[in-house]
Amino acid sequence: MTACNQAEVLAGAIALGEATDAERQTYRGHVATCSACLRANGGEHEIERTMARVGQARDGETWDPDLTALVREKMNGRKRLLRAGLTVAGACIAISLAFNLAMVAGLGRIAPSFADPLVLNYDGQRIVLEHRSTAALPQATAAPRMVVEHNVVTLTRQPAAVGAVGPRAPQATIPSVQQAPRTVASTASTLAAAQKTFDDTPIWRRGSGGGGGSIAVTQTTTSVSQTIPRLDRQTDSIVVAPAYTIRAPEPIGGETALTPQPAPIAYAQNASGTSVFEVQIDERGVPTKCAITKSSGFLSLDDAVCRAAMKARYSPKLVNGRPVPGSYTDAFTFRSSGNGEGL
Amino acid sequence: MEQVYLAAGGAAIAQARVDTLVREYQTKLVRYVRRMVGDADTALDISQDVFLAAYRTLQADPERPLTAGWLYKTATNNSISHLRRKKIVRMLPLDRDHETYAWRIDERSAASVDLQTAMNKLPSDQASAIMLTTYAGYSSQEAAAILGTTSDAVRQRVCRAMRTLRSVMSDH
Ligand SMILES: [Zn+2]
Repeated sequence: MTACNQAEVLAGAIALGEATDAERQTYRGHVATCSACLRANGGEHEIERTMARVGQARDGETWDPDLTALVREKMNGRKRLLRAGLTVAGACIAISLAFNLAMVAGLGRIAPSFADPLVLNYDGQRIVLEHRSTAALPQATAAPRMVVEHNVVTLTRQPAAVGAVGPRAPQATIPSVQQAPRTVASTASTLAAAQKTFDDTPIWRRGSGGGGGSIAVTQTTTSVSQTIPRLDRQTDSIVVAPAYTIRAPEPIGGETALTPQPAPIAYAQNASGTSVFEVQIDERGVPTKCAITKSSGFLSLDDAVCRAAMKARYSPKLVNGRPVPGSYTDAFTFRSSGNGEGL
Repeated sequence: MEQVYLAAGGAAIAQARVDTLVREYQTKLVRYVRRMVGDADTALDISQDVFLAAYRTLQADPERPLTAGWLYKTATNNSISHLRRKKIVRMLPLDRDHETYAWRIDERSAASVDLQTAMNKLPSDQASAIMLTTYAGYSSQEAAAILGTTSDAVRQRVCRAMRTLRSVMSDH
């Protein structure tokens, strides 16, 4: 490998953030003497700047089509084919009298009926044949409910400081917003307090009481009922269902554990909108990556949402009780209300 | 009869596992394929085929472990053979604004257009190398395992792809 080829490998390592200090040193040494490589690849910073462009493009992606139904339909098409194939196979098998006799004997022992069907289950390891009585089935329980909660965060504007005239530069009067999030409470009682207080507390805050601004949090909860396959006495078929349990990741402490705190610039922009985010959770429950899947249109709000999502800890996704990497999605709606404007 | 039941049970297991794979990886996968082939409809077709291939594999052996790497590998091969078969270059993102699935307005940032313009110029080995690392988040070593090459080769391809992107960026 020529020195210039080696330099390409090193530049690639730098581009991917994988280069060691020694490798960076070697690359610097090469481009110091090889103008061709310097011109073609650029120096270290140039490489990193070029690669940042890819990151921008990736983070700007919003396309999120749902293939679930399409793939399932195609799989069912294949399953029908399989069933047809099995029917043919079954006909061939029927020729064998000995096999048939054995099967009759076998079925005679298992003897499935509508009152006492044959159930196949997948327990994550192997297929087991269960002999289960319909009568012994527990009362049909309600299907598990998937609760989708939607956080609506209302940002209340802090009353203008005493003596301030006209619009003021927000940065000048807004101190640190990096304070501990407060407990979420209803706004009714806090509005009066907010209007009374003219101190230097941050205006963007999710919470209430004491501070100048207040943020009301309402949560609309929708329930989606999931239909699960169940043995039904009325149907004259035998149900084959895989037992596959999946528990989605959740923030520890519930949705309210996520407390986005927009930067002061959000105030200046009069920012509002809904940020939908997706955070990747590893098998330990640690968030590894956050992406805005639908932007509010304001970088400051999106940024606050992702920072909050990355700060929280989660219970990992469980598949058959085993922790695996997964993802958590939620939305925050920010509304900038004009409270304090007319004081 | 027992074989029939077992086969049907295997299909149900395979279907459940593919459902899980679809939910978990579809977004990343369609975005990866769309960058590779430059066209949203084709990306949807290819991604579906990848999951269907996973289903076929799992039907034969429901216990077989299928990783995200397997999905990306299949998606990469399908994308490359699509480009080869159709003998087409990847389409430009900007001239298709009327289409439902094509690049939406909020995705047509300068960075996005630069990247796609560069992607359209890249040979597929460089395109897959830069996408698997930057988009899918694999290290050069992991990408090498997916592409069946060495990590040095992946790094070199990333460097060459980066060069093309750099020249696209300096064009305007
Ligand atoms: Zn050189």
